[in-house]
Amino acid sequence: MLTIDNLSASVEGNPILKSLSLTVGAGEVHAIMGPNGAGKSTLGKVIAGHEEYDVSSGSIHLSGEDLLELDIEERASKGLFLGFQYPVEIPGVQNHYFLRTVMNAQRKTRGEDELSAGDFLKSLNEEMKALNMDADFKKRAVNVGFSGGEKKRNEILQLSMLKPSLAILDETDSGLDIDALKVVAEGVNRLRSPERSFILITHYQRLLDYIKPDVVHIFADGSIVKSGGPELALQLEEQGYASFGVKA
Amino acid sequence: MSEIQLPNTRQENWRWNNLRWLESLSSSAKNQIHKAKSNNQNVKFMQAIEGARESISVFSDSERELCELALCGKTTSIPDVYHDRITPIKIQSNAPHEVVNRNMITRVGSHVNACFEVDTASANAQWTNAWVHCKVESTSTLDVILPSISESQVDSALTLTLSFDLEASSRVRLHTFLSNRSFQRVDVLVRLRGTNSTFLARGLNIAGEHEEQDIHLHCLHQAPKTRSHQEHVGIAGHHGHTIWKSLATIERGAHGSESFQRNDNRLLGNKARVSSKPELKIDEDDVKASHGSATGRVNEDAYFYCRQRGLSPRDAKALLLEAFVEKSFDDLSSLIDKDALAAKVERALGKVIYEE
Ligand SMILES: Nc1ncnc2c1ncn2[C@@H]1O[C@H](COP(=O)(O)OP(=O)(O)O)[C@@H](O)[C@H]1O
Ligand SMILES: [Mg+2]
Repeated sequence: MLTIDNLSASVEGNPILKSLSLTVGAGEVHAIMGPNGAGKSTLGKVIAGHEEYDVSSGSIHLSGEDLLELDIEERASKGLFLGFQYPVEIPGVQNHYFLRTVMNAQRKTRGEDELSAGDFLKSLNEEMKALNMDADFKKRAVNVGFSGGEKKRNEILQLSMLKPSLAILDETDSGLDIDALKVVAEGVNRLRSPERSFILITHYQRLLDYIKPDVVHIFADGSIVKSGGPELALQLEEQGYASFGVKA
Repeated sequence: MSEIQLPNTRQENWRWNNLRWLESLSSSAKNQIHKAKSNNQNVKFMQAIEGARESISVFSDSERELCELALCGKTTSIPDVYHDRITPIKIQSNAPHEVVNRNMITRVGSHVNACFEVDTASANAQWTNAWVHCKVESTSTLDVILPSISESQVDSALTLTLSFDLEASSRVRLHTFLSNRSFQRVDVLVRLRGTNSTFLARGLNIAGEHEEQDIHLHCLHQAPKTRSHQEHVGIAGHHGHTIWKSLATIERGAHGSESFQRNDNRLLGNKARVSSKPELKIDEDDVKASHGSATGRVNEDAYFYCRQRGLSPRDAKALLLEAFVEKSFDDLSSLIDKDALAAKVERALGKVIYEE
């Protein structure tokens, strides 16, 4: 599914990602854990194609496609979704309008027909219900005035509508109370399938109580220092980053 | 008028020439005005006004006198029959190589809800100049919409003065949309003369490539409990210039008055320019007044967010800019075909989006 080989990237001349390699198989859930400032968000943005970051070496392939050759929106339409650590507010754009616009844009890029308004609304209503979202979120401006938890829920709504093959969720758990965390985790679990992979970027082991990862990576100073099974997260929780030789 | 040398819009430095032309026009016009005034020749004076719109600097005293005197002239009242439809004020001009002047003075009677659409679509002269004065009597409401987005005559200039006198408890709502002409300047003079009168202005300038879209407003609070509320947005494209200048004056005795001015701008492309100047002059203690202005590029985070969700650079910018201009449509009279207007604005935005 996703193969990252020897990736190095910098911003404004400062190297952030350093010879990072990572392979995520189809249907797998990987957790990336690491201290603040390690470069986790940068990894997500570089995979997504953010223009501020320079890739100096290495490669990223998604389902055989060379992502570094593609524009941001082309990567998205190939099935890449990035859940933002800080979902952006877009005043003046209604949530449902935004969703329909981006879904149709992706379909257009893939050469597919536009969604009918009826089909779109039907699935939007279903997904919102599953996420326990009030119907008035449809009409509200994208993320404007949403609480932290509502914003993250909205990210999961977009994820469940766009149905990507790879979803990278950047600290989707932070700032959530336990109920919101459960709703978000259920949302993700519902979307798990043999064709869909996840990378969960997180600070805390807490999220992994609700979403069982296949692989856990410890990430520090721009690369992965250790990989293992779910037990790695528990070990991290108990012993801290220092036990992995990482300065937190 | 015939001795005036016309500016050539195809010339490189035409805008500079225009300014000089305007200056010369205004000084000669001022002389005529003084002469007419001292001889008490109203007819001549009205003629002087016709050629002298540009002598109307909204910030000068002579302009006040102009309005005062113009009011002695011919007035047309709008009968009640126009209650639930739009009255077009047509600024027409078909002589392509002339400066065309149009003046209209109108009165909106008491207890009337009127809606004017200042229609500039057929102002095809190289330079069209117009002045519309509205006297709004007590307790009436006037909506004025100026959708000055030319779709045919981009290479032309329009200068327009709108002036409003508001009596007690009357209200004027003004919506302006300026785009797609090389040069447009709209001067708005508002006198809140009666207690409890209200002026609301919303506006949008979209200055496309090498265009200058300019609006100046002067709102005078001359009576107690008067209220003015202005929100304006501007977009400057590649080599485009959007200008918004607004002065609110709260005169002594206008206690309990409120004034709000807000201007936000987006710069697109290279050499885009914004001039924004909110200003307040307050001569009374018991008032509420605030003003603000902000200018920036399209929000980078929102842009990346839209693109990650699948929008092309063009579509992402269009979405964000459409959202940015959205509030210019707030409080529009329900008589206006909002969809048609929004489509026009969307086309103007489509033209201005610059691909970096
Ligand atoms: N756009 C940027 N400009 C400058 N520095 C950046 C930028 N993005 C990230 N960085 C720097 O890169 C490092 C990693 O940041 P980030 O990827 O956000 O870490 P994490 O998500 O692991 O907390 C930090 O030192 C941060 O300051
Ligand atoms: Mg981060």
